[in-house]
Amino acid sequence: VATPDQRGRRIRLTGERFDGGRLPVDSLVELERYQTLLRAIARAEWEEDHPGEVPPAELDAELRLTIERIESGSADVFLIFEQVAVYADYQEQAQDALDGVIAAAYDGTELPDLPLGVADQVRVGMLELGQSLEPDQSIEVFVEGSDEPVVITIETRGAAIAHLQLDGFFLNPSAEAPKASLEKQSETLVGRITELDANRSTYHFESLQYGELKGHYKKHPDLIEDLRKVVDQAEVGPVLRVEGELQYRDGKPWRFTDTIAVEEFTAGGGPWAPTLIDFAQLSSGWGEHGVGLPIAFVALDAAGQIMQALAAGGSELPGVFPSQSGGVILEWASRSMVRSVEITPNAEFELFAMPADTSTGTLEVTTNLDEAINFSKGGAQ
Amino acid sequence: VNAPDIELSDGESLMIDDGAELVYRQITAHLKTPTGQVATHAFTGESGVGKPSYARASRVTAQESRDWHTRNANSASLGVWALAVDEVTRADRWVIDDGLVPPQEGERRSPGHCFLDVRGLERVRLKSLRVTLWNAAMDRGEIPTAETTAEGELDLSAVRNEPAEPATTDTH
Repeated sequence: VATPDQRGRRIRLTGERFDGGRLPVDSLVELERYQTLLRAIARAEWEEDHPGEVPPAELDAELRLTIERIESGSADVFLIFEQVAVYADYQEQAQDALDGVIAAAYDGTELPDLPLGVADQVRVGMLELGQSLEPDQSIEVFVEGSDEPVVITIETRGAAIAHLQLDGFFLNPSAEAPKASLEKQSETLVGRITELDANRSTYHFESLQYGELKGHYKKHPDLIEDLRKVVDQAEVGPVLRVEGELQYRDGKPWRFTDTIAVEEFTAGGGPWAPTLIDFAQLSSGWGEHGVGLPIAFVALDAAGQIMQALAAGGSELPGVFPSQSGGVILEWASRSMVRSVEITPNAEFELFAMPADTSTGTLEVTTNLDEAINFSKGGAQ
Repeated sequence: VNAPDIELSDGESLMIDDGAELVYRQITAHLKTPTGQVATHAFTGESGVGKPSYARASRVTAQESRDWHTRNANSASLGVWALAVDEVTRADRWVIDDGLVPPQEGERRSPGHCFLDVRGLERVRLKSLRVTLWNAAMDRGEIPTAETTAEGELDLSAVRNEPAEPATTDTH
């Protein structure tokens, strides 16, 4: 049974034969086509998340649409899923994706991310959608995020079919990628949230390293308050750290399938913060000869904490450098003494000091932040 | 020279004939702070697996080496510092000229290219070498060069303070 807040889809059939809210039986095929497309996308989404597994029978059952009501006038059909339960995420993702495909085909908007390998099936389904239309009839599909419906008529359908048959239409590299290229792992990224959709529990995230990603937070609805705070701020929002399950596609970050935490990345808030934020933006290959890993958040975080402790105690602040291994180097260098704290991507601290009158310095390795801070207080002395 | 940890490939040669020859090192944004502090690892790289690039002063000027780097490498050179070959050999390391090694496909090697051999050094040794070479480079000071101009652009820095004259031609 649908819950009261369940998002439905509105599809309006217009034309003489639909007047008065009548829904001729031979028009049901269009609603069926819509459902078939939705199911195909949702199944592909599920398979992406569970490589090598067979989708459970309940998944299809939960992807069954029902007509919630038909308004009078033309046949104004409101569709909802028969049930909302375990697979609600897949229902929503599939609805979003299908909205995007319909808008892309008919209104020329950007094609959304589609699950792997589903492009051909979606193409066939889209070519069939609206096949039963006769002159002076239309199907209006109300897609999320737009006040105006996408209008399918014989005329607009002709243009959309030409569009859909273009070789390049589904040339979304991710749509053709092999299944083995998907993987998911817990990760923290730094960037800005540019858009929040509370109804869908999604957000757009502009990662400083990887560009635009989509994020889901449905499993952690309490995050909405944190997200609202950062989205409602200035036009250019604050830099954030977002932690969650990051799904990679073709080796590149694609989306947060789940979000665990969102917080402002202040890097300690001192004058060094912009430098650390710059480091957070470095992508692979930033260094000499194309070598250089992205800087690990744990290293940036530790660097910010050491700088904060030094500033609070009035100690000399070091020069701050990114390391090609993905860490951060703090260094005090004078002609009498060089001291450095190299923070590795694994949050180890290499504490090195070398007075000018020696040819070999001393090196200690620790995982203890306080030790690193105490060592840092020596500065270039 | 019989150093136990040197492995030369075909086309590589040790630079030992002229210990006073300078080798130029390009300093990029991630090797220098906004206040001008140069990282000690600027002269060795950070790990013992790399071969930090230098350019031989007997083959190119400091300005030429800076210009080539800015126009061809993935980050602009912000300035040139230098080591003398014997400052490196005194630290028990070597500068290797690889100018005769055929470039690999897609490789762009700078004119006068050579590299510092820091391969295989354990951490404390590498970090110590950084400091030794950094001190030598700081003693010498930055090698004067001008910011690289865009292709086709004239460097007018030398005439900036002269009285302005009416322009007669468009030089842009």
